[in-house]
Amino acid sequence: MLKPKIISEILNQVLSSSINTALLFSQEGSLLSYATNKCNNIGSPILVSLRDPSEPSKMIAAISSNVWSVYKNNCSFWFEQNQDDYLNMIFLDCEEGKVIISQAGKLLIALVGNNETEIGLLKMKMNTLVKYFNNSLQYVGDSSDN
Amino acid sequence: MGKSGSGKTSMRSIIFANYIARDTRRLGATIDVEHSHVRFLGNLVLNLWDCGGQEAFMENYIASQRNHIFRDVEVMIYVFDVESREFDKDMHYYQSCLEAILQNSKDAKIFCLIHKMDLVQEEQRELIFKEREIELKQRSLPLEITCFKTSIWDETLYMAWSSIIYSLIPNVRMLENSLQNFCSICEADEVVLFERATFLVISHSTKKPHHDIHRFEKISNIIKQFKLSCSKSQTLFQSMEVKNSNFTAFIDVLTPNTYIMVIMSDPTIQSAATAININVARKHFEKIEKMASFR
Ligand SMILES: Nc1nc2c(ncn2[C@@H]2O[C@H](COP(=O)(O)OP(=O)(O)OP(=O)(O)O)[C@@H](O)[C@H]2O)c(=O)[nH]1
Ligand SMILES: [Mg+2]
Repeated sequence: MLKPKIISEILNQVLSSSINTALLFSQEGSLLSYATNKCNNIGSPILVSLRDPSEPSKMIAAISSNVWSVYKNNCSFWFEQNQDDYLNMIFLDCEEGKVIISQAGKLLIALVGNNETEIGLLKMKMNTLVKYFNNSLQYVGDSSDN
Repeated sequence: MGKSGSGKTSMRSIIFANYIARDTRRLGATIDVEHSHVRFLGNLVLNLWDCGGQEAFMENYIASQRNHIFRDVEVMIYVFDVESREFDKDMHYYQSCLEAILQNSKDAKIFCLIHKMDLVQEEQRELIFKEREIELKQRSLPLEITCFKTSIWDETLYMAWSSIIYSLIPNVRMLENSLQNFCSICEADEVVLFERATFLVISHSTKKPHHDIHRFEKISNIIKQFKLSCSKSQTLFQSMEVKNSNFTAFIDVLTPNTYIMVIMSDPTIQSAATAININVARKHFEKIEKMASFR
């Protein structure tokens, strides 16, 4: 089961001045839990002006899951876990920041940093999160096999 | 059991056969005994005997059919019409039934429903009920009884029947513990388990107190009406999520025989996370339900 508060605390630990959002979401793109810096300035001003504080994270979850599934469906060979060198992370270098997406259990994680973030740091933080969630989320996932 | 016209068939039809209160006006008097059975929580089957209450039948039950009627009784529900003018006669039949129960099924649980409370003025209901309760308890000795005030026109009927059903569920403690755990893990304010067909409350776990003590029965009532409307437009009710600025309520199928309602008031917890938790809990509750069938 998911303990939303605890998950959000864990996600919160990877935030820094240059990494402003961490989120956990399903492969279908629904946001499950997130942590974000108080003075969050990701994306355009429209995002910030929204009343629901989780709205920007919901959008990132929706877009990231879409990106993930496009790759997964079209390059399934590279995602096969029995290869030594399989694909398990996607980096997006955007105009206003950097995003990294990866899978833990049946769920997805994304971290969002600003332009100053180093990709290597994002990757290290992501690896730590994935390792942690892989253990604790192995029974949680899509509706098909519950 | 209970005198003719006290409302036995009406309540049975509302709880177990999807009648609405108004429809019960069309019911005729029950002739002899009407048997029905309702599947409940997996393999638990409720055999309901609705015993027509006209005097000729009552005499029969107490005399010639005594063994047949009163043997292997798990629960006796005796319905009193609060407006009845024949108090002594009602008592006479009630006590005869108790005597027969004592001889034939001495472990049976006994519930007395003081029914049609809607006909009593609101201010007097509690008073009249207390009076009757004291009298009935005293006249039932040595048997212990439980009393409820009920009416088909409000949620009190659901409340009474939920308690009756609750007393019949095997391993209900385990069910309750699981529900408590579930409630605290998903950080819900409240979690309620309903029986699927009747929408009677089976159990609940409350972390944040709520001022309305009749809320479950009201919800049972509303959802049941909603289910009926759904079936009228040829769709099946499966689940719903209701949200306002204070809380989110999820109502969803949990097991083949139950629905769960989860109330969340923390806006930082995402709906999808709760939905996943309900999904994960399904397996566990199905297991408990299966165990309930081997009793
Ligand atoms: N006002 C009021 N009327 C009720 C209530 N419950 C039942 N009635 C009415 O009482 C009448 C008789 O109800 P029944 O359910 O047929 O009575 P019964 O106990 O089954 O009677 P027998 O089958 O003859 O034993 C119906 O017209 C119902 O609408 C109630 O809570 N309030
Ligand atoms: Mg009847």
